[in-house]
Order: sequence, then C-alpha cells, then structure tokens
Amino acid sequence: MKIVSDPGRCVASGHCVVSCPEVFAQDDEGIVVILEESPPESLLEKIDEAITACPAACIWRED
Amino acid sequence: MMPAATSEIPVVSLNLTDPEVVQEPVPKLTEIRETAPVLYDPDIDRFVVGGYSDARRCMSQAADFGQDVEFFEKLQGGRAIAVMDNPDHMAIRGILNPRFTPGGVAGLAPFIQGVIDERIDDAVGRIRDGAAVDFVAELNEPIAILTIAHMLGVSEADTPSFVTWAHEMLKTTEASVEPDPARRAELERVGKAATANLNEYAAQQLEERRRRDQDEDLVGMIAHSPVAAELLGDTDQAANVTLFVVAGHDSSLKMMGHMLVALAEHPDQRRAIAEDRSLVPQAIEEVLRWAVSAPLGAKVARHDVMLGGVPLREGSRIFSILSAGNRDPERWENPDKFDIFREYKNHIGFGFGTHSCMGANLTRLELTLLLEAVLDRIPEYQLAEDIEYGPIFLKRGPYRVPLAL
Repeated sequence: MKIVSDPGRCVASGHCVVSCPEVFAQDDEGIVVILEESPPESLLEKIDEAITACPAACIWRED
Repeated sequence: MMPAATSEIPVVSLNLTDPEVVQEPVPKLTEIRETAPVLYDPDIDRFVVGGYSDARRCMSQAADFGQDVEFFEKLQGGRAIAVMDNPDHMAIRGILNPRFTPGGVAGLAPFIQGVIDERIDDAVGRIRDGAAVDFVAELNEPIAILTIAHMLGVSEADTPSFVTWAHEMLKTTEASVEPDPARRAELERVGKAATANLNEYAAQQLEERRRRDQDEDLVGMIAHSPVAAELLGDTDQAANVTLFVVAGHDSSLKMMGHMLVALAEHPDQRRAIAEDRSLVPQAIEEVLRWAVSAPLGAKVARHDVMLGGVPLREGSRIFSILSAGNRDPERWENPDKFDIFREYKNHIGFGFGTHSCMGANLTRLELTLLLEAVLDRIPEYQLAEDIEYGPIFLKRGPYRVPLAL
C-alpha cells in the first residue's frame, strides 16, 4: 500500500499522529508529514484509523 | 501583571461592541492587517493579530500559544476540551471525534433532511404567496439546535428547556464584551444560570446513560468512556457535554444565515450553483472563508515568544482575528470579493490545529442540505430587508434573514 496526503487540506488537528505515529507526523506548522510512504501491512489497522479520524479527509491509501 | 504594549506595537481599538463594527467589520479588519502584524487593544487587554499566517500560527502552534482558560471556563463552568492541553485534550477529543469526521457526520444527513423537510415547503409556500419568511427562526435555528440535541440524545420532552438554556448560555459571551457594568452583570447572571442548568442536566443524562447502558449518542459515549472517567471528574464530564451545546449550534446557525445572505448578494454565482450542484462544496468553502461566525481565536503566550516579528511576553493574551486572516491579500487575490470559483486554499474560518473546530464537517453538512433545499425550490430568492448583524463581533451573524420572491 502507498500512503498519500493532500497537505493543502490538512488542518493540523493531529488526529493522524495519535492514531498512527509510525506513519504520520506533523511539520513545524502542524501539517501532515508521511514518515513512511510504504508502511508494513502490520500497521494497516492503525493507518485506517488515522484515515478515518482525519477531520479534513486529506489522507488516504492506494494499493 | 498586564503585559504592556511596547513602542514597537501600535495600539488599536477593536471596538468589538460598536454596532458599526459588528454590522460591517471589513474596514476594521483591513485597518488591523494594514497597520502592523501585531497590535494591542488596551480596552480589552489583548494583542491582536490579523494576517493569515500569523493568525494561523497563533491558533495552531500549541507549544507557544496555549488556551485562554479564563475565557472558556466562564462559559463552560468546568474543564472542557477547549481549556485542555495535549495529550489529555486529544484523548478526550478522540472519544467524540468519530462522530464529527466527514464519514461520521454523513450518518446525520437523514435527520437533518427531516428537520428541513418538516418546515421548508410551508415556508416556501408562504413566500410564494407573497410573504417574507425569516429563515433564521424557521429553518436555521431548528436545524442547528435540533441536530445537536439529537446528537446529544436529548429527548423530545426535554428539548424546549434545552433550547432555552442553549440560547441563554450565550449571554456569557455577550457579557465578555459588554462595557456597561450593570448590563454585563445581568448578562453574566443569566448566562451563568443557564450553564448551571445545562451542567445539571448533563450530569443527570450521563448518569442515565450509565444506568441504561447506552453509549450511542455523544452523552453516552462520554458516560462510558474509560478515558473520560480517568481524566475528568463528574463536573468536567458535564462541562464537556455543555461545551457541545453552545459550540454545537450557535456558530453553525450563524453560518447558515451568512450563506443565504452571501448568495442573495451574488445572484450570478447562486444561479451557477443552482444549475450545477457539483459547485456546492466549493461554494460552501467560499462562504466559510468570506464570513466567519466565531471570528476571534483566544490564545495566551505560554512563554516569551516572537509573533509577526514582534516580541510578546509570557502571559500575553491574544485574539487571532480569523475573519481578518481569511481576507489576507497575501493569500487570496481580491480577498474581499466573494468568488466561488477561486482556487481552493485552506482558510481559518474553523480555526486551525489541535483545537480547530470539531463541528466543521457538521456545519458543512448542514449548509449543504439547507442550500440544496433552497436551490431546489426558490433559487431566485430575495432578501426582504436590509440585514442586521449582531449582537456582538465575538459571535457574528445575521439576526434575521427574511426571504421573499
């Protein structure tokens, strides 16, 4: 899987980091940074939690 | 000790209770932005930030800028998420967040549609018969208040009291910018009583959800959350329920009014949306940029910090003026022009950062369903009178939006 984000829509809420800090971080302005574009399958559940939790719906995954 | 303005920081008078500023704030917003990145208003002891970048930073850089606890605690009568810091804040926010994501609010569409459908044809019928119908009273308020009541699991029997208390709770925010001491004392009294009533009601409801083992609505989710039990006492759990009452209806209510006014004032764009509903989402984002119903973000400098190139001392109380930031020409071309065809850029109408408005997607859904219903029936509606905004800049929206044909 490949993790994608649209930082232009990010509102820096930080929910993704709470759900999956292995994959998501925030830059100096709080905007999403993807630490691991192709993370291991073992993180799938946490990644999906992060995707669902995002208030801006600005992260998603592609196969 | 009050941090004083230095010679580097110009003084401004926001005049937040001046009816002229409330009615038409754009000249004041422009003055603020064009004078300096940071200003100081001695009447309210606040530093004022009007540029998009600085306002956004102040709202979201939680390491430097903390919550203005005094500002919120008066309103909530307890420790609600608005006054909390991370990680506890996110732990509590996370309990209810699933209901407020785009996917989460989608489940409310049938309920909101029901509230609209129960009212709109009667209202439109009267408009077609030649009457002017105030959509604030007849559509917007029911949508806003009944939806949050539904989310909280308020029973039909309890709804009238709930609605009254929700209205009266707002007097506390009115009081915070009321210069006349007698009037302020009365507003505070009414507001405080309403908060107390709602907190008592919330406490009863939390207990009732535990008795019935129900965790379906927002109250039930808090009542059954081990995180909430660990981090918040009973009083603070009630305050978090009460937070959603006022935060959960007044701002979105006012945005519905702003939307109807903005589109009436720009009929060509309204016609374009009516004929092509795929434009609805971007039209709503432009409304949210162009008009901000909760335009003041209250923060406090956690330590000595630079903001807008200016040194602020620890403890400095700051207002980020979200509506000024949303009109920043450094970010948007012709920012004072309402233009649904703009290239999308993130605005700060919902704040930004960890404390950004939880209700953003709920507001978008309410605006969407209301707009679709109006465009389906009376896309060429007119405003039947000059629109008056009030009562205060802090929570700004049209009192009445009478629609006619």
